[in-house]
Amino acid sequence: MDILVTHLSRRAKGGVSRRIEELSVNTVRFGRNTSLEVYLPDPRVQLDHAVMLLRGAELFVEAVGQADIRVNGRPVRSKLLQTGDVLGVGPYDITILAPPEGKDAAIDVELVRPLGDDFEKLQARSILSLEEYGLSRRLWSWVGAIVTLLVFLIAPIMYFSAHQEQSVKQTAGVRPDSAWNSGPISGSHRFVSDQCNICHQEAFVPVKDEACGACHALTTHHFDAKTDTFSKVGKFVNFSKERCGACHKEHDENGNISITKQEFCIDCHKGLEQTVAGIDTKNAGRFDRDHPEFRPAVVIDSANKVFRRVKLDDKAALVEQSGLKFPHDKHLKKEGVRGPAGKETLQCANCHQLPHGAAGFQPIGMEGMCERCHQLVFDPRRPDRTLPHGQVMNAQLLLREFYSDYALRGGFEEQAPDVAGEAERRRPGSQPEITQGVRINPREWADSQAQKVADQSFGKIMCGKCHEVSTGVGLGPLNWAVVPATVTKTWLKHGRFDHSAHVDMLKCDACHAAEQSKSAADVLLPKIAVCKECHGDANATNQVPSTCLTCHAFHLPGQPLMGARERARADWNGVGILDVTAPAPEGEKN
Amino acid sequence: MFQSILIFRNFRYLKWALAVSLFALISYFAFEPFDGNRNGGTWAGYALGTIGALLIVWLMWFGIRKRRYGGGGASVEDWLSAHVYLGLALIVVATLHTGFQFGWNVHTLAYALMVIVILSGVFGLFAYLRVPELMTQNRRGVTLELMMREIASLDAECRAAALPLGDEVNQLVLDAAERTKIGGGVRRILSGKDRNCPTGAAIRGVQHLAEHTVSDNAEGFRALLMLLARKEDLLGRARRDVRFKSLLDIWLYMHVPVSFSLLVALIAHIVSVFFYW
Repeated sequence: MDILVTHLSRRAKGGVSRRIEELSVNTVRFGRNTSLEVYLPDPRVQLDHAVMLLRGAELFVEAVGQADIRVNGRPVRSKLLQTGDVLGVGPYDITILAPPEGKDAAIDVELVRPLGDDFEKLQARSILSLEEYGLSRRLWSWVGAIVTLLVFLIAPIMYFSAHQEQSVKQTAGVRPDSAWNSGPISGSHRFVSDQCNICHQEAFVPVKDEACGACHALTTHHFDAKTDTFSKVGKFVNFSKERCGACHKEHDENGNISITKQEFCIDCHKGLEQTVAGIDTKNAGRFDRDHPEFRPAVVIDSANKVFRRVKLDDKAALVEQSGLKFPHDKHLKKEGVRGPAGKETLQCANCHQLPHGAAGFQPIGMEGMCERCHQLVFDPRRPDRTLPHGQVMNAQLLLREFYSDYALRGGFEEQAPDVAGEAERRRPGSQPEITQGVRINPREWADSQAQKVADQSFGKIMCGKCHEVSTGVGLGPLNWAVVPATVTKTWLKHGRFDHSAHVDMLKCDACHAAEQSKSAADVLLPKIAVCKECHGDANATNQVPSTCLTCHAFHLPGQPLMGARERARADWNGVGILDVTAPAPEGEKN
Repeated sequence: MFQSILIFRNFRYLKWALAVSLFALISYFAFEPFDGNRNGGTWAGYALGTIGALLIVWLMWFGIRKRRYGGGGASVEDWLSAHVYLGLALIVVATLHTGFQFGWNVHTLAYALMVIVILSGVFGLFAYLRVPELMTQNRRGVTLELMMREIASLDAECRAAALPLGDEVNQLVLDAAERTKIGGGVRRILSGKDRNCPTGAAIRGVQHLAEHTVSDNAEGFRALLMLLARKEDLLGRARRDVRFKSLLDIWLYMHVPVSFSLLVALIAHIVSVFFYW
């Protein structure tokens, strides 16, 4: 067929240039291959893309292989072409024209979708900086700052403003102000650890003593700040003006809410005798070097319970006047002592018993201890009958009643020699006939027996075996009396010593020379040097590190209440905040 | 220039920073509180906290000062040198202020943000000391735009060279021209690499086709591969250039926004401490 092929190309400044080819071929092939009839130099065109051919007078187009062609925009595989149809091959539009005279067909070929500017397209695809990618410092600055502000400042303040109640509650979940918690709450305060406002009651005000006093209403002072001795000393630290929080700091990672450094104590106590004239307290420093010798409080008047602190070195004054006689050595003899069931060897713990759940020893007493051996038997014929301990009048009555009963039941007769044959003889086996004369005589006998036992036997020998007994006209109905006994519970008034912490590693005689003690007047407290065998300074590495607080407390019993606790105590109901807000049970509500 | 920031004025600001750090260390160790607990709540703690807070505000002021060209007082070089050294000293001051007590709270948050800001600053410092030199070496006197223009013209050459080489080759080259890009996401920008680069794929594909197809146009293949290889080399350099520029930038995306969060956390820290005194 003869075909007129016109290649159109548009100029940048407008206008069209034309290149016209006249071909006489069987078929017109379109493609990227230079040997084809219509060469379409574009990568979007296949080497062999489409074929145009004449069947009779009709012009057809066919796609080659899998190539895509369109006619008037519709994808086709092959199609009859009419004048005016537009065949699409890749980016080219091929328009079918009316054939001029002498030609079978005529087409215009135009590249309608050029590839465009590679550089611009590369630039458009590429993202060459983080800013171009969309990261924005300004945006993230705002977001971070606002989130931080809301979560860590606004929310906690709003929460605090809305939750001012002072009741202790178990709250679930995280409170907004928990982000302000600067450190763990120490052990016993942990039950309010998620309720900041229990302690921090007012904004921008340090925790008030009233908050502490809600529970700790009875905390006592280190000394009586009102006494003249202290108030006259200018240098003296008046603790009553300090807040609780000045010493007791919460939220510390080490979990220690109290000051444990001994320097805090030593700062004052190293020169206390010079600072406060006439003070009884001795200067004290670190334990291994500068602690004074113990001054136990010994009894000097057992009847009136008067004690005096005597230095352990002062042998002459170190006499415990307890009103008791008790030789430790005789009781602790290795070969044993006579017991109710034969020989037995006594241990310290037979009398000095450590109770469960309490400090110190259980009180030592006659009951269950001394009386196992020292029974108050007053008549060898009746070893089962004993006198009540500690009740002189009752004992006296018991004796009279015992001997009266004894006499009435005939025991009196057996004692005939004592009453000079005044009793009437009777036959063995028969009951005595009680006559007027007989009735008087047994009563006198009973009284005299009771008096004799009371006066001679138990008065001097029985009670006096263990007790100091004073005699004299007018001292009771019998002209003698047992001196009231006072046993010192603890010799150390200001130091705490826990025996239970020591008995599992030390025997009693490691500290107490009881086996050599012949008298109850001995003070068996060891000297401080004995403590120092194991206990060293706070920084000791080869001894038990011991600070002031190992044995001493700051808030001392018997002292006035401290600071604001005096006020808090006025309306303290004994249980603090826990009870104040306890909700009433359902049934009790009106 | 950046080397000179460190040795600026014979290490004047290094000396300042050492003095601040020394003062912090002395305050920390000289004042042992009675309860033995060193933390921000002691007098030494308050002192160090005040110094730290003032340092933070002053360090952030650098962001404003550097924008004021020709502002009076010290030069921007002075400011930058001091910013670097005193920013490092802040780690000493703030760490001692914490008393090494940390927790899940706003206080440790402020500290952590501060550490992030300082570490990102250290990264930035090293970037500014090292990257410009690498950038110059990589560029060989050519700008990124020129590299990209050359890549674009190579694309045209590649396409022309591929036209007679079969549809598969042609498609690979067309893809390489139309889909290859420089940079992209944060990871591509920062790595300076593109594992799915269409140009790389085209080279491998064309090589494979050259080896496995019978063609009378070996010369055409060779010419195309040389063009593609040149393009890939240029792409590598362009991507490294983008990477280097982003390294000079990326730390600021941490340094600046986190420093504003830090400023707010610092305010929250101070307010909370005295709110719940």
